[in-house]
Amino acid sequence: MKTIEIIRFELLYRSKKPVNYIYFIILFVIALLFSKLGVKGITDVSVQVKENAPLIIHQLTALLNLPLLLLTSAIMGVAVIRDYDCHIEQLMFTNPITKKQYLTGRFIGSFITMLLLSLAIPLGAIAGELLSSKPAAEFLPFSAGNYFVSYLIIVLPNTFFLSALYFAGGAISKKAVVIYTQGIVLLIFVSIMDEGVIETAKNLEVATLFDFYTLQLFNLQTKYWSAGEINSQLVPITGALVINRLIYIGLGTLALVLTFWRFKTTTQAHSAKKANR
Amino acid sequence: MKLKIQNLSKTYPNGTKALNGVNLNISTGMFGLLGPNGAGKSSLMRTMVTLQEADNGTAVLGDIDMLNDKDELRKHIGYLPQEFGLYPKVNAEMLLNHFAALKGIHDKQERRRTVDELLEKVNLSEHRRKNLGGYSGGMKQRFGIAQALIGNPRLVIVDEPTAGLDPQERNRFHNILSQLGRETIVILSTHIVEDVKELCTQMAILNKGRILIQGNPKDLVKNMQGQVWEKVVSPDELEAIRQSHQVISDRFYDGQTLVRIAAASDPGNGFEPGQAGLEDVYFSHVNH
Repeated sequence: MKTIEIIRFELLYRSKKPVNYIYFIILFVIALLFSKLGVKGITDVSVQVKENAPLIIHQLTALLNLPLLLLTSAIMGVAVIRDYDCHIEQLMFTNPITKKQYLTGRFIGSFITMLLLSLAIPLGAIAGELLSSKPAAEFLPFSAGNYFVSYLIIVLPNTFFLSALYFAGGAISKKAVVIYTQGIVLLIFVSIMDEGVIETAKNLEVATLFDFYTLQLFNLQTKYWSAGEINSQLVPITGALVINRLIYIGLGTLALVLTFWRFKTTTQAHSAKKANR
Repeated sequence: MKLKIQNLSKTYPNGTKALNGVNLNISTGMFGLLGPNGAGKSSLMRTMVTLQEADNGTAVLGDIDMLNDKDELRKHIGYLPQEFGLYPKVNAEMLLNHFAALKGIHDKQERRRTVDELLEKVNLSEHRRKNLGGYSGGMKQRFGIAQALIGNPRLVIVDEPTAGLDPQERNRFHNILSQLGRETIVILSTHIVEDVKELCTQMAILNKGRILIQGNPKDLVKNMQGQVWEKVVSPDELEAIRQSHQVISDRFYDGQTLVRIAAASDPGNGFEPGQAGLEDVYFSHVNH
């Protein structure tokens, strides 16, 4: 009951911040523009591959995941730090709520916010396809489902993973600077993993299990596909993909468990000098 | 309702002894906790409201073990910290409603009634839809007391509540507290002797983590009657008096210094008997 109240208030709080609507619009416009221009040109596929083939949509979604991930630290980091920044933590923690209720409510409320924002990616990309000025012959029949399949494969687990990590960083350290540093380090790390380490790894099959954007994983699996296959096949859901996604969901869950374990509702006393200022 | 604290101690990691064997017995009514800045008042309050752990000792409110049964205790306390903030982009009604739900008032109708009553009580009804970021210091303080009163707590703790309030707001604040003291334990922590004199039926003086004296303010003053002596002196004389007598206080008086000392019998030397006040009780203990 109290957890639901904390979720409700979190969503109410977020809904009153104009910046969240601006984030959505920006993401939507980026997705729309990239989709309208088409990403087929930057991938090395045959000219016969259609602009909206499932694999191309998947690559577009992976690309669009990046600006969303930049937002994750801004949204998730403040979920707990806000109380300390506003200096309301003493009023909050003298309420009869448990640490579990507080953290669960704040995480779920903030994560729902993230999910609502992330919908700008498939919606913007769909709008881009529909508004495309390229000839109709370049396209397969429109299918919204393909956008949402890639959304579920890439955006959802990745957002959960980074959301959990930023939430943990904010809640445990209670310092905004930790989240910003963490944000930069994490994004550089997963991107290098994708671009450098995995691409050049000796054992590609193992390496792609850790592929954050799942692009290398799909490259490996579709390497010998013909243009016809790319146009007709859905992105393959394989055991390797499932393991890959479970690794990131698992790491995110681990970060949350750590948060529940380390977070303290007792607070430091403020020195008399500071308080009397 | 009784609040009983025994042998409560807390040492901070840097070695500061914030609380050093504190014993207190408090019953329904207004209780004044007096002490200079840094005496340990905030540490004591924060321990009583579950924000800080004690190293040793016990604290019991009615039948609640305050140090170990935190969840139960939090249902029955209200706390107004010395320094706190509010979400700037949220209005008073929304935040108070949120706190009421967290306090355990699950019924929507009842919650609305509680919020209405409290806003009325602290005179914020007309500002209920205004964002808290636009509140003045006094309004913020009144919101603070409103949230501390949610769910009719058995114990209300207010830490330096009138700092930064203008005289009129301070008055209004005192009225709310006095009214509250008829049914609940209200602990008022302050370094303003005047506030305790006006409001409290029980009091204690805390310094360097220890309770120096506890009692009824009137009784404490009465006990000191006949032991306060005063004299107008020059600065040079003051130094000599400091060496030979127990000085309670000194203050500028018409270009010279009015010094007050404590002595069981007439100290002679030109000292006149002075009228004892709560300030004398306070300073004679704190400066001793």
